[in-house]
Amino acid sequence: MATIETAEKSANGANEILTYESVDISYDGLKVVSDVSFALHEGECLGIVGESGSGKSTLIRAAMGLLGAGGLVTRGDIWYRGLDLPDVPRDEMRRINGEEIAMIFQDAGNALCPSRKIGDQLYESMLEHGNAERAEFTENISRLLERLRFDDTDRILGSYPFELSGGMRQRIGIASAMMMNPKILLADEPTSALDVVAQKDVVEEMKIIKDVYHTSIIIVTHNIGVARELSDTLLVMKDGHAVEYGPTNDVLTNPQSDYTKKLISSVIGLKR
Amino acid sequence: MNKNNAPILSVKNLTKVFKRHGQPDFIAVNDVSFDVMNGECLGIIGESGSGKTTVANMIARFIDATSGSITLFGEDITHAKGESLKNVWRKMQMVFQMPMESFDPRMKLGESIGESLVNSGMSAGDVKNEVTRLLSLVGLSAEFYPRYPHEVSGGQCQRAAIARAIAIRPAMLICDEATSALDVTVQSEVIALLRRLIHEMDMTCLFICHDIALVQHFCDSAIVMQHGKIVERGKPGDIVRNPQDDYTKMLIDSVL
Repeated sequence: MATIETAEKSANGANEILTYESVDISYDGLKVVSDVSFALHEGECLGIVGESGSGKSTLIRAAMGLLGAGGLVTRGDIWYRGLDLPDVPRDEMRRINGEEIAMIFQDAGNALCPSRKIGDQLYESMLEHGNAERAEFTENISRLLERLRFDDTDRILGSYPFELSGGMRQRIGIASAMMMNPKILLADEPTSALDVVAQKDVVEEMKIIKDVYHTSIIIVTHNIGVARELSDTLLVMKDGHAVEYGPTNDVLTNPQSDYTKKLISSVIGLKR
Repeated sequence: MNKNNAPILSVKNLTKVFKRHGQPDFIAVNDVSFDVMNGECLGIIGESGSGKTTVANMIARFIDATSGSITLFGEDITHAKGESLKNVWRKMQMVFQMPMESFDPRMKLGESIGESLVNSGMSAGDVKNEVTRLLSLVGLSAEFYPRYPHEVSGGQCQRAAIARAIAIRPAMLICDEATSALDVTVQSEVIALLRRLIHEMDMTCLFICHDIALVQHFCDSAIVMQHGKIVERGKPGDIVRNPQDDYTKMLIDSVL
């Protein structure tokens, strides 16, 4: 198994921005994540792959304090700029979430209110993090959407969620996470509910976020193709354990663990 | 009827128009025609909203076709209902995308799998034995008989759904995104299972899937749909290596 040192090298000596140290996570006393360590560096995209129930979503939810009532980080630390996130008070966490660490989910479209226009909803979430004039907001959001290569931003902002396709709603979800220009973007299966064409659009959008905004990204996905396309480093999870960790290319071309080998061989690729 | 030359399923000029309140009609499926031959596995590829599932739902008679015809074993089933529709479903069964949602949550898996056998007049003892056999055929132990859908994983539930579909030994199987909700490792197992069963039970298959790689791996022939129309058809390998239509090219380029 590649160590954290190998991964550090791959990120060209950039600073660690989020560090997991020997993290255990339990739900109602049942351990679901066991002794996981990795580091996310500035500007890096880390992919976490594994199948349902392997603990990959739980891992990134822990950083946001979104484990829910029964969930607890029972051992280890999650460091972000000198703060051990599981110990950060709720009020401080409310400020960090969204402004500094943002998260997007598998179906961001479901998080949108069905009866209000997209522009109104995005403005409201902006107000939660401070004052912004509507005109200034509209200018900023239009610029953001244009950079993320949305066509026809006025129409999108004036639409209700049901007037947009699932893929478009997901891209809006990602754009809304980027409104506060967070340092870290955590993405939990952002393409899994989409067909291949919409998936490609979302992947392209995430690439722009990485290249233009230099946001550090963790993407949780069970799709090896998406991980290969986006991530610099790859962490493979199996039954709550990290079974492999290293530069994406090394892990995919020369997998060390039996599980990673099985995972890669299960992918039914296109024979071009 | 000569099984080798006549198609098992023949779809001619099939069209579905949805009426919308205060808006123009929506043509979900537009003049679609294709044949599925005995033992063939035909893939239907296309992105969300291309009309793939609407085609399947019309063939399975879950919804009425607006125009066109559907012929199964030489019999026109376009407007089948009542007893003749029951007959259609004895020959043709479907596996859906969401395994959990395709089961009655208040019925044990074994009961759901055996329901069609009970309806066909089999005795209770025989049904129990047959369900146990079906479970082992799809790689599940007899322990799964008394379980409820929410008590098993997505992959196990989809295996049970396949057992339910093949229980009355249909000649035709329609798989509507049957593996799309599954993890890659589980997906490859379920695909291997489907392939084995189709071969062993001599079934003909309509395989609806947005993943062109999976269709290439699984199907003998394929059609590509966009906006309710067929834009390309042929052997999956030929389509992938030498796509003729711009939309198909885009679809192939989108595969990561």
